[in-house]
Amino acid sequence: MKIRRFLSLLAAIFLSTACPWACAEQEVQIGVCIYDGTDTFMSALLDRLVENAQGLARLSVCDSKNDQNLQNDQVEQLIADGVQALILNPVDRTAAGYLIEKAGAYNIPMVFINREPLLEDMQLFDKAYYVGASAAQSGQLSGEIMAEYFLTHPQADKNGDGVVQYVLLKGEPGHQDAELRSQYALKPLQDMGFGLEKLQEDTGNWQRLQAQDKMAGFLAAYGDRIECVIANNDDMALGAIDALKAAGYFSDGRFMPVVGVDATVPAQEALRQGSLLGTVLNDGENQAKAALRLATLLIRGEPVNEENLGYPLSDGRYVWIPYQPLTAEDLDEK
Amino acid sequence: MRKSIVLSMAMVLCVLALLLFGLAPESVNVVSPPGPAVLIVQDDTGAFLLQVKQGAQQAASEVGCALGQETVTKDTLTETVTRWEQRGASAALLLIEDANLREETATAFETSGIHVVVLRDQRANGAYVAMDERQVGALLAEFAQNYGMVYLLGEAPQRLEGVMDVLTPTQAILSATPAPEEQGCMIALTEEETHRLAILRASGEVTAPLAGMDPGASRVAWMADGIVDALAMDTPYAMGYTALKMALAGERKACLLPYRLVVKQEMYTAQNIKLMFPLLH
Amino acid sequence: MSSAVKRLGHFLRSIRLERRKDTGRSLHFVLIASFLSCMGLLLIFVLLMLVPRLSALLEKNAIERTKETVMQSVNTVDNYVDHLLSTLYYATTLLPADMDTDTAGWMNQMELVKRGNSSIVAMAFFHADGSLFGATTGDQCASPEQVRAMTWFQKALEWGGTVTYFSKPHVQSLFQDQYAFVITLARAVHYQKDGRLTQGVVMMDIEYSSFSDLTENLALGASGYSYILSREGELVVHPRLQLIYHGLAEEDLNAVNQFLVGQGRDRVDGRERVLISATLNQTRWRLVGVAYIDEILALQNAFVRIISIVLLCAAMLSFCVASVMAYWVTRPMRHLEDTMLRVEAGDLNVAIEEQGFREIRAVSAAFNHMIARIRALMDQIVQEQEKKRLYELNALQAQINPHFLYNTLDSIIWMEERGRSREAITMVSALAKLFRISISKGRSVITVREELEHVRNYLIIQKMRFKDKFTYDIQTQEEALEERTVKLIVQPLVENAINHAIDQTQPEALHIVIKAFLQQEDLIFTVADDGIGIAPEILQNILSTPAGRSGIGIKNVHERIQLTFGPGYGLHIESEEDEGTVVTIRLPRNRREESESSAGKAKPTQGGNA
Repeated sequence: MKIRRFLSLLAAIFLSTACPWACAEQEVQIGVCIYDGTDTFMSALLDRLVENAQGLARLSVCDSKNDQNLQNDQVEQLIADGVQALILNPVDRTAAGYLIEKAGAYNIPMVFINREPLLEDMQLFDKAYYVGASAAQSGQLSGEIMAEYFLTHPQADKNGDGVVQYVLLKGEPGHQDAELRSQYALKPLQDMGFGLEKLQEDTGNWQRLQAQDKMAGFLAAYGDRIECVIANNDDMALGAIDALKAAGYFSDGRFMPVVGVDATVPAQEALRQGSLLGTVLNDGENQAKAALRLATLLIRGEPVNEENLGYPLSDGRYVWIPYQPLTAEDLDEK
Repeated sequence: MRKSIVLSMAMVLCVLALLLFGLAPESVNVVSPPGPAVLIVQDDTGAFLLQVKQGAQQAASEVGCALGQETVTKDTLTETVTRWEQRGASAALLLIEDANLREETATAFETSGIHVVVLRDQRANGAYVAMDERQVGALLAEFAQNYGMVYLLGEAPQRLEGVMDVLTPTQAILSATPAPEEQGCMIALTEEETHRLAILRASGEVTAPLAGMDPGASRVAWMADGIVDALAMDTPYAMGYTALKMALAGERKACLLPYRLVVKQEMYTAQNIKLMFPLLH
Repeated sequence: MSSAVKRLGHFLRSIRLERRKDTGRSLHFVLIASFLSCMGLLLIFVLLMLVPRLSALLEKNAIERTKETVMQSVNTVDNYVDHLLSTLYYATTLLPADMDTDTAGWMNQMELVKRGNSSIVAMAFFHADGSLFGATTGDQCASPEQVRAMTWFQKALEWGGTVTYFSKPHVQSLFQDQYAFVITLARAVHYQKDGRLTQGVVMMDIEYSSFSDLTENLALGASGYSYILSREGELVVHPRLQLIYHGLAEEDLNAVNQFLVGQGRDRVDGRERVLISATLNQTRWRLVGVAYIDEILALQNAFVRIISIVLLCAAMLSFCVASVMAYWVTRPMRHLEDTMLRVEAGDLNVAIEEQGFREIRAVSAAFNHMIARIRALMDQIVQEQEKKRLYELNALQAQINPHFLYNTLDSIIWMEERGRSREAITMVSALAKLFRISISKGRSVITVREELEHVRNYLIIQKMRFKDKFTYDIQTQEEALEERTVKLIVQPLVENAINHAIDQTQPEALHIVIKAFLQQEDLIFTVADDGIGIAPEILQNILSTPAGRSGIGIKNVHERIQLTFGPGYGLHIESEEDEGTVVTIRLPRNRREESESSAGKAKPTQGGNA
């Protein structure tokens, strides 16, 4: 009699503790590393990840503080902690290959976000994926805005030579986004039949103040010859606008077309004001969702295709979340 | 009671002994570095010497020993030996062309108690580091044998033996310079022969591929232009390193180092830099 | 040899932890054992808890420091690479807007850049087809096909300008007669040609030695060093690179290629090494620091060694201390033990020094008191035995009083000479009976009947001699007759009465009354006379003055009774001068002693030391 009571008590305890286990099995464990928590876009993306992970996955988040070796240690720790997948934003994208090899050895699927490893490294492991926004596309879209403007506003070509004299404010030297955006921003103008003349390019290092300085320099050197300003991001675009305003633009009908990328809040404000011609929205929300969905599919061993994922898949392992162009009209419509 | 007193006394003694020896700071294995080594040369120029010296320098720095260089002649020999003996030299490497001078120098150093290793040349009953002449023949033969006919040119008995070790009995061999457009591969067994054949090839008189010994300063240009297809290079860096190590260890043995084959695709690699570009650092 | 072994065996056996059945476990041993076990437990606790943890902490610390040193080197290389990349980028920005014409301007600027950094060997820009736009080494360059065959060129184009390619160390062969041992950096650049956007490749050759110098002199212990590996796992920089190429040395890359980045261990030539692999920014290379465990853990090993030695010494010293302490603590007890053994052997004159611990002192003091008490008691016994012996001697003596005998015999002779034979016979037979009872076959205890018979015979004899001087009367209680009494206690009193109570001045005869009766639990004899009595001052001391001239004496009787029966019994004298004297003898009732007859109840003796 007593034994039976004891056993039933034991069973009750077991069941009550087993339930969380069973429930926990529904939740997957994912390790997340962000290259630097002070990067505004990335920290916003992280917030989206955490939001969307509720009830779906347990996230272990690490801030790699812009130190690749710290990230290496963090990844090692995450693997030791038994994460089932990794969402990685590498500090040094060229070093990601080692992490891919390492995770591959443990058969832990990896989803890279926002900073893209080299193709040859991605190919080392069949469960390495990338979710991001095509920097080329962002450049292209900003270029399209510019091209559209030049098409619809013939007076933009000040000297009427059919060649666009531009100045370029590039992001951090060597940065993939900086290179691609710069490259692709010029393409639409070319495609529309305009010639291109680079008056000058310089780096604003993604920063407003630096861009302002550089722009001031450009203005000093080329003055009115400048027909447009192409900036790799909004902060720099706004910096350029600051310099232009100081030189007397954006008042008395003097206008300079400036495009940026990111669609930050101040940029949207500038759009409304009419000082910024256009920008491109980097869709962090969908990037987060896609990354989580992808990681979950990979952990569960389900096939990865556009149906399951809900997002388009390129080359079998790239999920490009489209940028959205943003102009003043688009804002009005919202 | 008495027993425990006795035991206690014994224990106190043990304690003292332990403290004395156990807690004494570990005698740092201060192995004093060996005395300086010296590279004795007859002619102090040339890339070969430079490489030998670099190799010996690497070996010397690994054990913390100094390396000096001296040019010696018949007259200055005794004085040089005495001087180095006084400095407590531990090793002498000899790179001397003249056989008599070499032997004299070797004997002089040895009687002063300094270990001697001869470089590049062989020495009876002595320690030396030289290239393996038989192996180089085999090396060249391995390259050439795939071309069908093999042309063996140049007089070098040991190297020839090496070639014969590798070539199968059915291999067709000729000992004459091939005619233009003839198929097959040339093996030049001597440096001079390589030089001669390379010039012939450069002028187009001979078209068969050439595998040979180091033809001298034009090696890079000729290989880059495809005039020579494979070169068997000696390794003075390895020689210097091995020789000094042997000398410091006091070994009295003969060491033969293998030649290395360099082909055009690899001529600019880091592995072959010391072979093809001995003057580059 | 074997005897020495035997002795050793004995010695060891004697210190074995055995319990000896007779004498019990030694306190000394227990003290040592308990002290040692406490110390032992403490030491083991320290050993198990402290040493492994501290040891592990020290190891972790040493490896952390090694890692930090390696990271410093990583920073140095990263900074250098950063500098090179900035230079390269700067060169790119200097590319002229019109690439068709302005070659010379760019070349001059490149020359300036090159001079600003002594490790730059060459800089060049190539179009996408491999043709040279310009180079700091002049315009003699390899053909476009050769350029296009270069790995760095292909890679640079493949990566499209977002990443710079770092080549393996090699000899730069593109520029005629200019051979240098370099690492080539190459990157694609987009520029305008004929108003179109096209790609080109900017290339920068850096002297190999400037890379190899970066990792020298890294303080990783005496034998430690560091090297750089390419992405493909090939050595880029290594302190013994040439030796490795010549096959005279080797570097085992298995471990590093397994754990890739982070920390790992391997074993080379029997020595364990710790490997720290860190990625270098932008180059796709890794820097690997190698430290030999026995060098970086020298501190830890020394620590473990020192702690082990110290603990071992502590253990041994604690044994010594325990022994000494136990010896010191048990010394007073051993002293006590020795003294008690001496007492046991019979020596009562010892006294223990009261020293040592309080408890020991208390025991020593008590022991001393006990010994003193025993000594006193034994002395008392000896004294009493002496007295008894003396009295018995006296009693023995008294049994035959020579004066009395002499006088009586004289009287008998006198009577015989006078023809009074009947009186003589009476006297002789009385004398015989007297002495018979006196001796009583050596018994010291006789019946009351016999005692009174003794007195009667005495009185008969004395009456014949003293005739009208006295009269007597013997009154007895029937029950008292069979009682037991010490012999020769009444006669001395009667003798005393006759000798001292007669008043010579008075014609009246002394009347002596002798009674014997039972009173409750006592046997009472009284000898009363109406004589001259005893003076008070004499009466006071009468029981203490030594025996008088004739016989035993009252004191003797009193003492004998007291010795036999105790202080509650004995003589009591009442006297009034000129009136008379009554001497009372009190004895306990004592019918038969069990040792003298088999039958009969034995009444409990009252008090006494009999």
